[in-house]
Amino acid sequence: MENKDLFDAIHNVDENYIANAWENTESDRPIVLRPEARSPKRALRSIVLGVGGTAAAAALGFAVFAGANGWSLKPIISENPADSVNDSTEFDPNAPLPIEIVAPDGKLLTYNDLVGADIGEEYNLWETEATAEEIAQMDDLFNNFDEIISAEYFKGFHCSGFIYLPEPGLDKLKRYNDGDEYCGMKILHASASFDVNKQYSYGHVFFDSEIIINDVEVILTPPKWDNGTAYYCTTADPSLVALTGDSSSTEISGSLGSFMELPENTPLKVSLRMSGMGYEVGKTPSVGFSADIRAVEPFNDTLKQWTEKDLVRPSAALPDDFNFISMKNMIKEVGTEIYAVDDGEVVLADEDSVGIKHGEDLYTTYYFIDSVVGLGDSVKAGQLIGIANLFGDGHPEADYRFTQTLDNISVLGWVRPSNKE
Amino acid sequence: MNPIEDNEIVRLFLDRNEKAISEAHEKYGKYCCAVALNILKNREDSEECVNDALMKAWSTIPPEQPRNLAGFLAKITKNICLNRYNMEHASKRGSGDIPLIFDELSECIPDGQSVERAFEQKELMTAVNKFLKTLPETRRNLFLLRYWYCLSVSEAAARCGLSDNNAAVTLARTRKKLLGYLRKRGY
Repeated sequence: MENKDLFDAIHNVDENYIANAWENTESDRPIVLRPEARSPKRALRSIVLGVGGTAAAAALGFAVFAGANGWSLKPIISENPADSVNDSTEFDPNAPLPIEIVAPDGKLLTYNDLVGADIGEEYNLWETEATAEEIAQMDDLFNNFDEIISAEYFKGFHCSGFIYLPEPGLDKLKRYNDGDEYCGMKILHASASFDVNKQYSYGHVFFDSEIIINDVEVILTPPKWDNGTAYYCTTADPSLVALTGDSSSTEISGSLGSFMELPENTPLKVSLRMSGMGYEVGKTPSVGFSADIRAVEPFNDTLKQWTEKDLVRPSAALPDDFNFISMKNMIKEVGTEIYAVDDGEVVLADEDSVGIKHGEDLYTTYYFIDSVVGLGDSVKAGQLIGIANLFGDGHPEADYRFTQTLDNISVLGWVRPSNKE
Repeated sequence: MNPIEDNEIVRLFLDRNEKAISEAHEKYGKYCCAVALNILKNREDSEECVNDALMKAWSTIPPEQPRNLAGFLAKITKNICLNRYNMEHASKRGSGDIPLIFDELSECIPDGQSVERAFEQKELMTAVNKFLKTLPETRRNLFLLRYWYCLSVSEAAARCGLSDNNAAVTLARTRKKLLGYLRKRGY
């Protein structure tokens, strides 16, 4: 089966499902478009003339135009100013944008700053719903970038190809483009969003696969594109247990390796997770980009068959800077019984997840399991809480999360294959 | 004025009454334009595709008699848009989430299949339909908004009243579930 086969199969699903998915959901966010120089009305008339008379065609053309489901603008800034959609006015690439957007380094963004950037639609580029007359007027304005980017219609935009990051060791932000090196890693793809109201910038950055930590060279699998707010790399060898961090406000100082302490002489594979960062222009960045690098322990057979004697009880009060650690791919059989790692209260129980609170700031959560407990239930260590279902890469998977410091990683959870005692 | 019923519009098509197109457009032009915009991200191209779709519907009904006119028109529109997208994509124009969607759907393709296994598209379509039937409505809507309408995760999340992160996680799980579902059925 090829991707296209599945794509086509999804395209041909029941028309009721297709229509209901749109009719039963709603959004006030219009779709961002890309302006074109030629008038749409002329093109519409030439298409519909075959159906009716000129009057009907013209009416239909206008109706189509006015009936667009909201609209907005996705300006294209070409590397060649002559290609700009702004055909009628002189284009100055060094001119500031019609709306003041201050970049995180304190400079006013200019057209030149956006050259080569792909300005996308995911962020808050919107406008209030225009009337048919206003839309008709804007038709001509689509040819002129400056007139479109007005205070009334422009709130922000999203660019890819660059991002502002804290300069290592310095207390300021600097622009980095795709292909630049940052903390010893090559930036594969970066993106940034700017909001004119907040003068705020969010960004996501995806790094190349090699990283050196504590002089131990490690190799990552190529980063996986994830259209969500975060993504992470895992090791090439699926038998390796990847422990990934989940901190959302980790500060960075110096190189990435400096805030992670590893045992000496430990052969490691590394999982890297990056998530979006935000900061305010003009203020000292108090939050760097969120990144956690965790060591991947080598996986061996004994971990597949944990028994009760491998269980390590959570220790006393955890430090304030605890991190979630996730262990995956520990379950290899459909129907594997999942047991609570310790006494606690069920605080999460939905169709495929269970979460148990064991004490202050200590939780375990189990994903992709069919829960047999309910919200509010008290459970004991070793009590059956669910059955691993068929989610996963062809085999079942349960995702345990623990709160524990990196310096004292312990196996807190255990599973027992269904065919063993 | 009450909107015209779908069966009345279909009747106009069947009777070869040219009013069918204007009525269809009046009721579903905005919707079809939204389908097109999500793929092409270009208003002019989208409007052209909507017109093409209405022309296609004119030439297709009869013999087709769609049970759900909105879905029927949306499919035609999307087909036309995808053809145009492929053309624009080849010439480095156009944008959107199509490549990402293909990439995400690759997670649902089981590995290690025998190359001798014959694959029936129709059977796969049936299987996908049945899979969708098993999903709660919100999850199904989110899945289709992402993989049929080709909305970004953020846009799909907004339509479903979900946070971006919630939607991303839900989609990931649904993809995995589809993978398991297809695998279980021998794909």
